[in-house]
Amino acid sequence: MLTGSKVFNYKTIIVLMITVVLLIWTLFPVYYLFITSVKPARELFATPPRLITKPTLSTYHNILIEQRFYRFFVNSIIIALSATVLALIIGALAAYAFAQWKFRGREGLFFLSLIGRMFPPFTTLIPIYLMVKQVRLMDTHIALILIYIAFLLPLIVLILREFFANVPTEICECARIDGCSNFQIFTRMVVPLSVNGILAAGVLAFVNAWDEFLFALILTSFRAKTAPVALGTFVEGEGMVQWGQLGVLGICTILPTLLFMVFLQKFLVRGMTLGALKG
Amino acid sequence: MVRTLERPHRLLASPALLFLLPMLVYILVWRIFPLLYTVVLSTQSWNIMYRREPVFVGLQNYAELVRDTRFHHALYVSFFFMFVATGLEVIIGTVLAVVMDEVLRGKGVLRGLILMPMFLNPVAVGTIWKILYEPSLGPLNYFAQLLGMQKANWLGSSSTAIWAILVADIWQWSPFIFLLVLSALQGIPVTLVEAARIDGAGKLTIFRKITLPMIMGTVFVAALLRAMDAFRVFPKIYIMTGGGPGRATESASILVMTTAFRYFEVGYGASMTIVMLILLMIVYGAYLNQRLLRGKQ
Repeated sequence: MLTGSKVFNYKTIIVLMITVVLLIWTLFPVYYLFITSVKPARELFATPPRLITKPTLSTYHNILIEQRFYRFFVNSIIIALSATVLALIIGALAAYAFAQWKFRGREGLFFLSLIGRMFPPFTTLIPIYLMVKQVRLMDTHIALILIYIAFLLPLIVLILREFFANVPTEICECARIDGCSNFQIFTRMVVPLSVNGILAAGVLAFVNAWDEFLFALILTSFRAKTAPVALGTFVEGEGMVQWGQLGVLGICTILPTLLFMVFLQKFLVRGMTLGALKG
Repeated sequence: MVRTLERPHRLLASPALLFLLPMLVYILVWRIFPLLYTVVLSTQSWNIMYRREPVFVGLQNYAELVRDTRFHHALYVSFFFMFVATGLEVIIGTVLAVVMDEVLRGKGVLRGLILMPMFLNPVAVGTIWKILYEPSLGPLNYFAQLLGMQKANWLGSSSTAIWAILVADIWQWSPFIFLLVLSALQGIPVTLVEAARIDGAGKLTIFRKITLPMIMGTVFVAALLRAMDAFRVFPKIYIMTGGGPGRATESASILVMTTAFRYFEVGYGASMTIVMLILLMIVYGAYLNQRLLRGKQ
């Protein structure tokens, strides 16, 4: 650009410096975790700490395959995916009801469906622990799936109501004249026209379920242990002497979110801002 | 968002009922019932380790909480964490958004990189910072030494531990405020700014009279959302210090977990939860109030 060189000098340089500092501040911690996970064992405790290394995947093989930690990631995938799909089904139905029909008490019920925002999951931890113990579902996938659905519903209803309300009413009316039932209109018209919204809600829900720590910590011990809990208990236990392994678990725990960020950032950000601002 | 012109049905007569039913049942079983159960538990003395039946003790648990200095300290830690984290995150996030707004228009990748921490698992964030802070071999101590500072055990000393955790929280959540303020900034109509400029308003005036008022609501809402989350911070503290050293970083959430799942006093733990919930609802009330005010404007 051919704007005055004075402007170029001051402003651009300051902004550039801020950007660089900001990027180092943001990226260095994650980079250090990554470099820890790929360092050969003898370099891990070197002083000064090595910031560049010849990467090796041997630590990944050791902790994930030999020590069989891959199981906890499989658990996390099963639990987060099941909870997301089921919560999307239940939540989409409800969101459609809120967007489509006017009925007495609608606002009140909508408010009720957002109850998760008011009463964070934390407040139900003790009774849910007792309930799960009572029905003998401790350390099972199904227990966490059932609970996570409850956590994900507010988020999904909030996002999808917005998207469903934007589906043109005329399309639904035409379908109705053609003899479609309410349910058919929903599955054949509204859902296909709201794929973006469903994707945004789904990505955000999956990430939330994947990241949940508190309930997974209390309700699982081995068979259904999830990735964050495996990481958390590893830090408490041998993690501070097995840095490499710790790095691997950390990287694998943040991997799904990083992938979503790269490929679906638009949806993630949209879900996050919508959830925050309209909540 | 009125979709039909008919007058509202009763829910029972509306086709909406069938669509809502699964969710309503779900909320009832997994949210409302446990919440009421917590209230009931809070009036009981019940240690689940000794297979005894729960005993109804009325408000005795609450009376005990009033005297329990450990609980007071935990609340103090939670509030301290909430105020400092929210305050600094709002300042950092807002300033960065205002400074970077123009630079970031159309630069999705750069924005994505800056936002990254907020998408990371809090347990992983705790782990990352625990490695960085490691007293003998961690990189931060190495850099500190290069700058001529003494090696320090940030997480292991009761005066610095809470600040060390706060740094990790600020690292993770400033981008959240940044994102919300940035969205608000980019929603300000360009014509408005242009009009002001034509009328001869300087940059500072435009910022004070247009930009600031247009983003204040968002900043406030963002701060409240952060405050509610920061108040019950758990994973970061659990991973980085476990509440220690001593009880220096023992927040209310940590204490509830210890009470209920290490001492197995579920009744007493439940009463702590209820107190926390009431405090949270006060914050939430402020949030709703703000929304209503904004709705009226």
